[in-house]
Amino acid sequence: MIVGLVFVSVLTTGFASAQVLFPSDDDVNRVASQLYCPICDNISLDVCPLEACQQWRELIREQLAEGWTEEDIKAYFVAQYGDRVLGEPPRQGLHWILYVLPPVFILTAFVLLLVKMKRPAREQPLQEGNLQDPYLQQVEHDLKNQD
Amino acid sequence: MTESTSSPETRPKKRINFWAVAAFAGVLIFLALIGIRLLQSDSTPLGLGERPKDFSLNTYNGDLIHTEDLRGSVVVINFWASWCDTCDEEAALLEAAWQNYQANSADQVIFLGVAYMDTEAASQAYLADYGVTYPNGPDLRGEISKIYQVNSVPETFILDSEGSLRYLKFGSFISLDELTTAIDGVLALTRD
Repeated sequence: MIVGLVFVSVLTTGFASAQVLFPSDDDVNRVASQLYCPICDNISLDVCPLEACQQWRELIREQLAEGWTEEDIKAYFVAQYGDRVLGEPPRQGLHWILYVLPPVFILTAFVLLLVKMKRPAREQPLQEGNLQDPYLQQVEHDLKNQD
Repeated sequence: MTESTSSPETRPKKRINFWAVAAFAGVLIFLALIGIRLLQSDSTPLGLGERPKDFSLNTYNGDLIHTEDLRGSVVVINFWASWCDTCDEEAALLEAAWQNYQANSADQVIFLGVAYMDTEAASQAYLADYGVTYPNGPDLRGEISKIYQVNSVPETFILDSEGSLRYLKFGSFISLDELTTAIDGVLALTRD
């Protein structure tokens, strides 16, 4: 009976907090792959061979076992080691420019392209006055005089 | 032969494309913002005689130390990490020097240890293993190492009583003599 109650209690607690009691390496690496080693250049935590990275992966394992969500863990790493641990710039302050401007540029370019394609190029009727080239003007003049 | 007759009315007008100007302005603004950001993240290394920005250290003992409150004392700031192979070589030296200055000239020399990019559990274990008793704390968000332009450990900085940088060491001290000579040198500057 007591064993049953403990089992139910553990089960419900687990569901309530999405707790992974025994996080596998895959669980750990899923989170670690979204974080970057703060002392290396562009190496994510899941593939980083340093001893420090091993410590951080173990920390992630402990946090998962305690029921932390991926977002909790990422927030903890940012609080401890700064924004550099994130795989992407944080969506705040000036960093928003990085997210907003490229789509705006692409959209603008697309709209411009559409406008250009829809509007046919205006052809100016050939008139003597329109001819810029003196040679063509001479030819035009001579042709007229022939008639 | 007739003269070229392109009157102003017939000359094709050059129209300024609003969208092209807007796109160009957008690119300029984007580049300007990147430039501002680069200027903000000034990465010029600290030089001797400069006064680094003050910082606060949340120690593992629960104290909060503000470096501006330490004016009047020589401050030894050591950056270390539990994963650093050479840090443990100087951990005992730093502790011995700290004990020595505590006994002979308390408050004249303050030691601060800053755990660089470390986990708290590993840091605490490291401090316990090497019997380190002077104040130590984590470098939260890397703010302190940013001020001192620290990219590797160990590194040690000694500030005079005014808070100006008087000595810096990349790598670990190899002897107690080397460490105390450095500190005494800054103490002598302070007394002059």
